[in-house]
Amino acid sequence: MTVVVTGAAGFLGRHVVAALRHAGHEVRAIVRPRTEVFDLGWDSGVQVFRADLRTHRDLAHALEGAAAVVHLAAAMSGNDFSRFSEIVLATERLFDAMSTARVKRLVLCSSFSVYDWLAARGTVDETLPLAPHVYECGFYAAGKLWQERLARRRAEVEGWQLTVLRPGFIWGPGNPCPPSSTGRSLGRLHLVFGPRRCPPFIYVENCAEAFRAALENPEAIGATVNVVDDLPISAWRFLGAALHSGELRGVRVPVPLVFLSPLVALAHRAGQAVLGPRARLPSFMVPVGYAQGYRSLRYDTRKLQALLGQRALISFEEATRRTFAAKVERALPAAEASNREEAATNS
Amino acid sequence: MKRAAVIGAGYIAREHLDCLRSLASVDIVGICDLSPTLAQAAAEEFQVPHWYTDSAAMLRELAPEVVHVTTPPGSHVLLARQALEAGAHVLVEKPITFDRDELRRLQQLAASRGLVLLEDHNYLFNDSVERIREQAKAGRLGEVVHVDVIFAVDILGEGSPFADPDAPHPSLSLPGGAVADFVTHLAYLAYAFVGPPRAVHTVWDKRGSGPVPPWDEFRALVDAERGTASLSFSARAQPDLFWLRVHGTRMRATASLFEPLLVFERLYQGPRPLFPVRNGLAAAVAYSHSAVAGLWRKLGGRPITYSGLWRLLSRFYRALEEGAPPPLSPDWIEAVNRLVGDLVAQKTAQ
Repeated sequence: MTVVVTGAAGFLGRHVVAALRHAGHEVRAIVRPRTEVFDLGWDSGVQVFRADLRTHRDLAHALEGAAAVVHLAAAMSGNDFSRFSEIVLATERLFDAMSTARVKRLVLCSSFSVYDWLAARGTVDETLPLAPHVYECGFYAAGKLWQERLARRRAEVEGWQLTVLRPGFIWGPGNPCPPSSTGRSLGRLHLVFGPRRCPPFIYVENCAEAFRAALENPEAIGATVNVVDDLPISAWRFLGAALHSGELRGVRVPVPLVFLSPLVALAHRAGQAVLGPRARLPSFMVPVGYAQGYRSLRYDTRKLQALLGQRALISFEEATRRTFAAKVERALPAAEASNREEAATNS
Repeated sequence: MKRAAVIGAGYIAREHLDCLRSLASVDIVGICDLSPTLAQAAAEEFQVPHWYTDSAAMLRELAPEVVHVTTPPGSHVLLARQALEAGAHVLVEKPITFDRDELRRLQQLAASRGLVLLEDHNYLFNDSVERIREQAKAGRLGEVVHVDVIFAVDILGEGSPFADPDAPHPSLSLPGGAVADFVTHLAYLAYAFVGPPRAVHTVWDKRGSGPVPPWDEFRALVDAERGTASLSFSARAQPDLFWLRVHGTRMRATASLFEPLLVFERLYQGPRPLFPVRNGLAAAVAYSHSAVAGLWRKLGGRPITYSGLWRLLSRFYRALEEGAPPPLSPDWIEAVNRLVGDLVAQKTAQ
């Protein structure tokens, strides 16, 4: 089938395009007007459509004849509110275009950040309630929540077939250690909050595979699925792999949650008492932010396993090898170019 | 209690809404934006009972007594007129317009209906600027000789809405491009101390390499009735800075409008060589105080950069309640508009 992928040249998008092509789908890749696509290795089965979702006059044209949309595009820079407004404005316009072009199948990339992490205990699955105070969780989370709301409303009113995927921390070549996933860094000192804690990591190719499976599996229609690797990796081990590869430099310092949790609670109460109810402390010192990032939890991956069927995912060891080998490969062309320049200068 | 509505649910609208909900004399009845999601999200966050995507419908159905226009500049005149015609007092984000005739027509419409039309000159109401104006009014500055207003903000950096070629910032359609979004601030701060201009000289330049904005550097020298002013905007000089420096015959005052910094350099009794020592020590105390107080205010979630907006809104609503004159007169707004027009017109001529 022909699948439109938004954010196709992004960190996750390029792997989703590859997974869809590998499965034989035609892909219409929506990329921003100035995005370079030469080095993405796309074949003739990928049609590039250059458009900014917030401003393009005829988005419906990009969707004509498509069977499905995989909506990945999200603002990753700018101040908090601009990220929120970009996410929702792009989504509003994309959904209007889907209506016009009569595309009825949507796979939406949401996020783990939409959950009410204060309510999380033990093992977390898709039944965990959504955050009740949307805007306290930051505007990225608010944008993702609004995306889901908009998608569900459209699905109900217009009869769309919707699948919502909620990835955890996506990592891989280009993003070897998602910011804040393991703790905080002070220069080369990497504080690992809860070293034995297993954050909800998902290797980017595994995540892309989940999107491909969601698109192809009829049982995914109407479903919401958390996307997390099934083999838990501790924060300590994960950061160790990044340090061992040379991708990061410095040393790990364990900060057990048994010490951190009461410290955060104390800092929050003191902040409220001294600074007042509008106090703005760093996010990990606010109960919602701390719970979102650093609770020690397990993640139920049964829905994801059912979605993927028998397909094996890439192991942590293999993912590590691919991620850090990519760094070496990226460095090679630059070194070769430098050698060539040097040779030309010498001659 | 005044019934207020806000048109535009973007970044600056959030400051208005945040302030309005802190005012006991204000009931926020509605919010409107072309994006239904932004309107609904703002209504949800600030507990506003009604949201709209059609401003005319909101004005008709809710009949607010005060309307805040916080949309991009190109729509200010249209929406301000619509709100005035609906019988509401109007506060418009800067610039209302660069066209003097348009402004005059709006002011006439407001006057004919006994309504207030206000442009947001928020930095004028920051603590530090108010204190300098008090010193000037009391004659402690002596005669004001010159004013420097320096605005440096990184609008070319990654993620800046001003530098996004795929979704051009609304201000880029203004004469003067992105710089025009800031020039009103420079103009009213200069006008406050040196009055109406007699002559204006400007330099508009583009030194950055990106495709937008069309101009990223602006300088102006203003020969005004009560002194001179130099105005500067830079999109490249770092770190970010917004300074007002007023040079008097007896005192020099320096304020940072992004931080609670205020420094006075004075003439003292005693040996002249000791003046720099005393002024230097006073400046060191002021900088230290500003660093701590600024951090404290940020951690406390209290406004710093927009503290003037909160004070302006508070005074605006108090004036409406008491039937007193608004915090800025129509003549003031018109005079600042004229200066802004002169600054921007030179760009057109160049």
